[in-house]
Amino acid sequence: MRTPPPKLSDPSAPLLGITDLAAGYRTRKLTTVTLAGVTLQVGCGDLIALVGPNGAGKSTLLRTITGLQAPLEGRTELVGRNVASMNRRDRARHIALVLSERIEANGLMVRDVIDLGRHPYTPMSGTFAETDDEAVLEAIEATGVGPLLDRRVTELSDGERQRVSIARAVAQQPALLVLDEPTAYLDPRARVSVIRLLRDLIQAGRFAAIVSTHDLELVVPHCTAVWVAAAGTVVAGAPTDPIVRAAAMQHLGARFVDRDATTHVEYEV
Amino acid sequence: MSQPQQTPRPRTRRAHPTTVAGSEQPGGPQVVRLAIAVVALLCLMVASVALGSVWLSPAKVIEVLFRSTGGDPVARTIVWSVRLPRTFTALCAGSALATSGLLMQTLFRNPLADSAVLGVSAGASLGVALVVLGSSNSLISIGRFEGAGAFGVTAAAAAGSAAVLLIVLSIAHRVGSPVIVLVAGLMVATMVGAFVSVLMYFSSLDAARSFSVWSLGSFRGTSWREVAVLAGATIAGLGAAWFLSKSLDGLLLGDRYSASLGMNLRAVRILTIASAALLTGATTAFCGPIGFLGLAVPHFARAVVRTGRHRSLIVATALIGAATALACELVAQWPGDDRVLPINAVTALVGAPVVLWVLIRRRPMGSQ
Repeated sequence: MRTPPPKLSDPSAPLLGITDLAAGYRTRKLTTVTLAGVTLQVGCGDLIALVGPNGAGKSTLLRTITGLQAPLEGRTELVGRNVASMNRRDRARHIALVLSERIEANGLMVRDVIDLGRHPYTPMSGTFAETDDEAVLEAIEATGVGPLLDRRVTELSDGERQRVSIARAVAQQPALLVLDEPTAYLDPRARVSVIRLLRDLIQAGRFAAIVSTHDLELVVPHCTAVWVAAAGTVVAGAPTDPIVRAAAMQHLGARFVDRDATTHVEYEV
Repeated sequence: MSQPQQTPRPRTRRAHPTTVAGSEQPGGPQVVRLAIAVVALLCLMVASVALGSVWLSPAKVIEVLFRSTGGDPVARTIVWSVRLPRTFTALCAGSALATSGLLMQTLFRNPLADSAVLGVSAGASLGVALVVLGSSNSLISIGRFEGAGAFGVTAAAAAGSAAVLLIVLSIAHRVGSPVIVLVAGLMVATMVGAFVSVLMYFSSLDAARSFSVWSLGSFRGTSWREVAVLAGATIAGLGAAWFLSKSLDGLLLGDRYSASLGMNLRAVRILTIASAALLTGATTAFCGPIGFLGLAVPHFARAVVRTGRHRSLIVATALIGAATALACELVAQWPGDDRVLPINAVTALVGAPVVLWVLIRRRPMGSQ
């Protein structure tokens, strides 16, 4: 397996740096601030669990990080460059997205969907270069979707679709993978398999990832940091950080317990 | 070759024989199937020139086609001023309507979208009615646009189509549910149709009569100049669709995914609408509103090339659309004398079962 080319010249600098960010929606009449005073960092190889109650601004934060929504204030820098000022293609080469929504893609085969990951690299004609073929092959191997390639996306189970969606994101060769509740509509078995796949991909050094999720007990044991979105801001730190634990307890009723050198999650109801 | 080959695919070969066959050797069987479609299209073109109220033997047809003088003068007139224009009109209209249907199905991510269902044909009719009523021409001249008039009417019809597409697309963005969008399209079509009836009410009886004849739809009675304009618009629309094919694939994943792949969604949508509107508008201006080709043919094409990739799908859709239109036109001559079945009745007989098949085969639409 070949790791993606390094996209960072200075390894000590953070991959993603968010400074004094305010995010929300601005309409003609009023501005709704969902999150303010957010300062966060993601390093290479990080797996971030973004947790918080519904409506706390998890999706808003992810939309702002991925540049799909302009920040109200502050900056988001990826590999030292302002995300808001990157062009679409350039941004797509650095950040990939996986959503909870089921991909429909009428008539597309699994291999077609994975090929779409090369969209930001191919010319207008969509012609593949050798590097594109390699990237797709690698993504197929890394995610184990080989047996699904010649099936229609619409024939797959929800768990298989999400795996294909991740394979597509891997083919995109991003520095940062953003997943917005990737396990939301999956059955328990598929949830575990998707999170394990994600952990393996990060351990293989492919990218850093931010996962927004309600499945704390699945993600927290594998993550390097937890971001708790609540009360208009984000509290961030290692899973062992007492401030993070207090926030998780207060807003989610989740107790972090250290066992076997990992942090596990129990709920207080 | 865009697809990786070396990847192992066990099990799937037996479990999904139909889906494997098409992608076994990218290009291979697909090209064969497209070649068969081309041959079928050529046969239908020959049949369309040979068959009609008077039977012309292939030898006679070839004689008047390829020799500048001599031969049967009656046959010469029939071939050059009736059957060839009709053949090329059906060919262009079929590929244009089918491709515009494909574009709309992708744009709305809805397998039941087409120009008739979404009210786009109605928008084109309104454009035609406005131009013809607004100018010094009477409506009698519909279907007989000459010179600059042909361009004007095409532009008006395309503008009407584009306006309706924009309205329905903005409704689609608000409501989300595919079923509601189809109902909204029907409502817009009804509204536009009502407006056209009001226009007709204030026009002369002759004009109203000729308009209703036009609105039955027909591939007949077009002049060579009209065929030239229709062909130009069809080629331009197909070219634009082909140019967009990579981004159309992306649209299938949904808005957020396509934006995350670096697509300029707004630009892609506007170009897709422009292309679909041009294709529908030009066809409707010269042939009247023709239903079901846009709806049914993309499904035939998907079955033939067995892929959702637009680069292959657009070619297949245009080819099969042309062939289907020619076949429908041939069936419409079935009475065998001067009488001809209304083309919309024939296309409905072909298209409506496809809709039912799509409805039965799919999970309930809107469940997502």
